[in-house]
Amino acid sequence: MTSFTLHSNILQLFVIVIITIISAISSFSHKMNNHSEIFFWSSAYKNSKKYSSTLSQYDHRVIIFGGSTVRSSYIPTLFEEKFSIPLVNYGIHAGIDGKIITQLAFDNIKSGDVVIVALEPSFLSGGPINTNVGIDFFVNQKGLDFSQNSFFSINLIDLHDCLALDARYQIYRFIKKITKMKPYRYTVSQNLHNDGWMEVKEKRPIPQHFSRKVKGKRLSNYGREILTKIKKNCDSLECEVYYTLPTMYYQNTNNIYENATLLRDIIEIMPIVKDGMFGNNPNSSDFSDTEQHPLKQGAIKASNSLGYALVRKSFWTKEEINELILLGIENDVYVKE
Amino acid sequence: MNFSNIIFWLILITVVLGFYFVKVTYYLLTKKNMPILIDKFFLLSASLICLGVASIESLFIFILVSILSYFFSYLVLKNTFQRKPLSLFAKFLFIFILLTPLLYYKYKFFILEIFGITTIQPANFIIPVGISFYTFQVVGFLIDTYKSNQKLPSILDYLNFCSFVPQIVAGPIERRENLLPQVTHFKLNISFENFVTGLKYIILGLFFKICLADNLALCLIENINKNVFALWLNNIIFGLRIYFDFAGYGLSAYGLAICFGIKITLNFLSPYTATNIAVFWRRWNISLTNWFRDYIYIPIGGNRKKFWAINLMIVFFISGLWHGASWNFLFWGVISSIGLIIHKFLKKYTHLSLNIFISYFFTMLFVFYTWMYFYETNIESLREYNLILFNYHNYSINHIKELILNETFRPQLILMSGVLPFSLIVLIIESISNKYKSSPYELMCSLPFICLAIFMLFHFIPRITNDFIYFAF
Repeated sequence: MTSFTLHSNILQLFVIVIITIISAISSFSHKMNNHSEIFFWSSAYKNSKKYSSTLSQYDHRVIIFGGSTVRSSYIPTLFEEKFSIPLVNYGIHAGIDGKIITQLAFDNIKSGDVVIVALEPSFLSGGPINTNVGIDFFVNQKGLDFSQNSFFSINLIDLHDCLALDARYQIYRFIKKITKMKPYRYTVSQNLHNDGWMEVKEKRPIPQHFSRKVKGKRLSNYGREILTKIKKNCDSLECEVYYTLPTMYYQNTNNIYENATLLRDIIEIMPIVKDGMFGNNPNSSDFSDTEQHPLKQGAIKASNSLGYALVRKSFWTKEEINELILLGIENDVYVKE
Repeated sequence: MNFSNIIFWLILITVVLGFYFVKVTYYLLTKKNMPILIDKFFLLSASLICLGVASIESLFIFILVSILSYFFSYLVLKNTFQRKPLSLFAKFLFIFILLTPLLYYKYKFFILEIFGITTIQPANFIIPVGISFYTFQVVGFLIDTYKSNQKLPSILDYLNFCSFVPQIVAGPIERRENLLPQVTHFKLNISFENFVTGLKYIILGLFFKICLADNLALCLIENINKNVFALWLNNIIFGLRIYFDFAGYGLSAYGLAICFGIKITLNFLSPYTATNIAVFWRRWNISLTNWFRDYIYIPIGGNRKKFWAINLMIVFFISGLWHGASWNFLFWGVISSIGLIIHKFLKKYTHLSLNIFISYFFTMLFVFYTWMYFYETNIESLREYNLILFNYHNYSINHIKELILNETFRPQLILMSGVLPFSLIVLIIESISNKYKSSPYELMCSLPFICLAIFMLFHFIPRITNDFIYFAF
């Protein structure tokens, strides 16, 4: 090899290395600083932390967490004003994955707090959600320190994905930019309150589901693992822990059987709050853009329902849940497993 | 063995650096270079480690097939069966035995289904990694050895020929005369020039796979809602996806082999710029096409016989079967052969000369139509798709409007609007490079394009990554 070829190869390799470093830094820094979705949920999480610090007059707080259903359904100030319950809402976008949502909530739980797990049934009966957004969001909040996690582990592929921006996001961003649309459907100024409550104001038609036969749900291995770890961690922190079904829109009551069969498994791990709505609000006018996001009136109903149940210390018993399952069977709304 | 998985690269780099460390230490202690045999042992170990990490069962099957084929080649060369009919019978028996693991793992359930025995394939039943590729490679070796009566290589060189890490999982299916001499003289001495050239091909392959193929996979419309345009879009997207996926693997394999100082076959040569179906097949999965040509098509008579059309159909039928044990692949093979037969017939008997653009249009129309038989495994759905495609009432403005305005198609259409133009640009660059350079990928291996590919690899990745499609074959 001539020295010219050698120099040319060294130069080319140098350029390749430099471009790789620049590209990695550029995509990672965009994700951490300008990603509209991450920015919104990060602000929501920070608002909850700030709100939590304003509740210093209470010895212990009530921490609730789950997906965006939780974030948009439970209004912390309402809990405090009406029920004197110092509730802090750590609901995060469901695409972030149940384990990461749980980990981020537990980073804020102190000894003696009351923990209300409101992870959506789909999390607990299904498997993990493999999206990059969860790790991105986690890194955005906590940096690259994964050593303190008890709910999830991270591998090299996750870290590599964390460096890169996905094409779908880039294309949407470009289209939204040229059509002057909002970069993300929710904005901090319009949809986020200081107490961390996400108010969804936009009303879209909610799809009407036809009456269907439903299958019973079982706690998946993934769901069981999360709930068991939550219980264990709460026991070691001397926290009370309960599960509650987050309220969603269902056209009819078929989901009673679905939810009851799932709760039959959950009650073996932790007590379940009997909030009267049983995860179901059949009034579509209470919902905004999806079946999971209530409008203000829907959020007030869900908050009141949970607030009264907490004040009354009302919990489901195994017998009551079994009765609900039988009710579903009698009404012939289920499909045999 | 997945080039788009960082773990594969970490294992490989660790193994290579480990060996370099041993080499340097040996030199420092003895002031002598290590014997070449050690380099060959290293290459074999690296290949087997990578295969073993993918699956221990796959490693075991691979060793079994390789050792058996070596033994059979030895018997063939020793002229154990001296009488001709016996020797011919032995040759077929050897080939059949070598094909047995492939038949068992890949076709067991399909054969049982044909005989009306319905068994449910267990969820944990896996086809050994790369079995379709290395089985064909060793069968090719056996036939070449028999025909040419060449000397048998050492077992170490032979195992390196069978297991060469870049190509064991998904080809190219290498031939004795190309790969064997290179592994026989293998010495691990990664030169700077080879490293930079190889690295460029690896980056280009990853760009094809991650930025194009995996993003195209997310563009596939799940429910076409009987819309003929949605169906055509799916056919086009799948056709592009399978190309970028497999060619991406091939380019990365080619690059990795160059890093080791070995030149393997480039399995694709821009097939989507072919202006007729015969050229398309000369550029698509070249090593497999050549294998079928040399070991099946020519031995059964090839072009020379009156029944060349039947010969072609037999080859494509087997090719379809090779791709998968299900009816859709068989249909794909038969329909692809019909396209090629019509082309050859027109060329031979009518001397029809179409305008290049018209010829290109019909070639691509046919190729993308046949891909439908590749991605849709359900025969009833295929029947329905054909009814949709061949009903001219479906080609109305209303269906285009529905495609654009229907909300269910929108997420895919938006993603397509970004990914399809990139794919087309790449095909145009391939075409230009094919015309003015020595290979369709040479232009894309220039430094500016590689820098762009690196940038895209960090700014345009899919949310969900998939394994290489051909791993399943």
